[in-house]
Amino acid sequence: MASVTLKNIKKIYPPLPGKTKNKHKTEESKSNLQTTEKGIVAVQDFNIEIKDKEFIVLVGPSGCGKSTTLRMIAGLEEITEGELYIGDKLVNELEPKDRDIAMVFQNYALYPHMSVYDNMAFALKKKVKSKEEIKKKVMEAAEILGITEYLDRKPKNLSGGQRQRVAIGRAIVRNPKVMLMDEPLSNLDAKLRNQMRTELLRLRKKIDTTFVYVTHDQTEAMTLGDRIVVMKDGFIQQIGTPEEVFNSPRNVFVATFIGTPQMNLFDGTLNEIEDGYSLSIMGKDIILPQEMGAKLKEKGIKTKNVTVGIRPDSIEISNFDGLFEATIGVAELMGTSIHLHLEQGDRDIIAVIEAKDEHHMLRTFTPDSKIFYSFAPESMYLFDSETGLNMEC
Amino acid sequence: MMKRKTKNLIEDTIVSIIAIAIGLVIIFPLIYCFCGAFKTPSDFLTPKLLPGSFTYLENFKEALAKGNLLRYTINSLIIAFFGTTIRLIISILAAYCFTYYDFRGKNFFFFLILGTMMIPGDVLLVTNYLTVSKLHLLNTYLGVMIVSFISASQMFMLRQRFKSVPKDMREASQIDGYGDFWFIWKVLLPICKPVITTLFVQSFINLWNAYLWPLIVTASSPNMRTIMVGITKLNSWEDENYYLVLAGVCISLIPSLILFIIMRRNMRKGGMDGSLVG
Repeated sequence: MASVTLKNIKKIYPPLPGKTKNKHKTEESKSNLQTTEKGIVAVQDFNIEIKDKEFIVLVGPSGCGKSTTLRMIAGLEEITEGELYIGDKLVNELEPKDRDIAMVFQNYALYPHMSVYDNMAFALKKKVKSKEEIKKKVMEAAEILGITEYLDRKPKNLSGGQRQRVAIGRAIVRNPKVMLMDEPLSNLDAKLRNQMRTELLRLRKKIDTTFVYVTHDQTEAMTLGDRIVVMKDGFIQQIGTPEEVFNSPRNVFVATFIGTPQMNLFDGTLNEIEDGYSLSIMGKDIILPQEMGAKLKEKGIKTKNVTVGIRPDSIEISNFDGLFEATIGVAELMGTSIHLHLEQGDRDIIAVIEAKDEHHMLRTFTPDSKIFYSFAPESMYLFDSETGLNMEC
Repeated sequence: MMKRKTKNLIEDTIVSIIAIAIGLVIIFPLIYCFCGAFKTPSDFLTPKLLPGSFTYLENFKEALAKGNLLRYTINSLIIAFFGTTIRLIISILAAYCFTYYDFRGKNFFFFLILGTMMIPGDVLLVTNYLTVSKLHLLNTYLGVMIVSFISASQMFMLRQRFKSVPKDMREASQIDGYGDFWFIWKVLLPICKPVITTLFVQSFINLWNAYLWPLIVTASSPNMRTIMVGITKLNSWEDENYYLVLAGVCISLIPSLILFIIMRRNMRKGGMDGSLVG
């Protein structure tokens, strides 16, 4: 239980000629990471103050530096520049074992030759001397996770979900100041993943500690995190609560990364008119709501090229009239909703509609037939075309 | 068309017969040796394979007494055991470095070590002899063992095995509070037990069976000979006692056999593991 503070953290991987590094790093070299003469910059300008008992989720596409950041907190990766504090203590130079952290690995990394009990007790054996105390702590953790009956088994005799529980058990048994999790659910199948996600939420109430959780799955990020850190190419894009990140994304990347299906983007031009602003998209003019206009006026914007973002569920479709005309591509029934792909020129627009009776489920949507769509001006997000930044923040 | 079952049966039978035939060819010298060891001197001159009886133990007694085989067996045991142990320890440490550490010239050194596998051992005989003699190690256990302390092939096999252990395992144990030494001892070695057992047995038998090197290093001190050297000394140009030699060979097989039986269970798995990287 402690706060974690990262100040100007930077990580540079020195180039190693003629050598393929581990998967983790080759993955990163594929993305648009900045390269300096010192090497590849995997993470830079990383500043965050993680409060005590907060659940922080680092989220981003492959190779954005989220795992590297986590590994730097763990002490498995050296910090090139910047300061890392756990509690009030500067831990840059501390060995992982002296940082009082625990980590759950993506592939669990259970010791295959030890029983579940020994796996969980392994770390305690180094710290705690009395056998009874070790046993007590292991039993407590096993109880929380519901793995008491597997304690004598070897990891190979467990299912994926059970292994996952043991991996978490191994971490919580030590009662660490900070709990680090590196994509712990990514090896599970979809159903189990959902189940474990819920369980993690429950678990969190029982173990009171600071969590740093890495994932590329935005659903996990949205459901688990108190705050989300969205990363891309080694830079933090936005830090905020799930609501903040979803409702007021700071830039186009965050807007498209968070939320499924992805946000629709259109190019448009913003013009100042007498009592506000008008936006022209694909030849149509839309008058911006007063509130939005006021914010833009404050910034002194006159004419500007913008990227307009509209969430798929804000798109309204109609068979008879609407702002824009498109043809139906494919319709995917997701159970309670339908993901409708509309084609307009070479543009693919996704709309999410409730699968109500009036739509006769999928039958109404014949591919290649004409359809109209529109959206409320309030539901638009405006981003600066050049910088990609949200113009309302 | 033949039924699949019949076809399989015929195939199996043919393969089995071939396998048994090859097996017999391989094991025949052993059978011959075992039988010969029980033959009386006069029996030995007859072309019969089987001895008159398996209760004639004079050859063994004489070999042990005349050839000082007991002492040689102890010499061999010491050399084979310590030589193998030290060789394994060094190989494990080297393989660990090549697997887990990043350092300048890592690949260069790795291939340099692998390169030594291409040099035939006999070529090094003279230089090794000179080195050992200048170190004043002739006629000592250390002198016999020292050249076997380093083994590129073992190092290579172990490195390949270590590489298949996920790196996360080491990181997990680092976070659990264990340094490199404890990680090797408590996690890595138990995981790699089959390979290590196989290498141990293989190396033990190799050192046990070594002949030329122990012969020249212990040439001037009869007490320091290993059993393989001792056995050949049972037979001299003026007195050809082949039955004594065969009895000596039988005795020399015992420790390897015991070791093999003890380690068999681990070896079986180890054989598979080894086959993947060897």
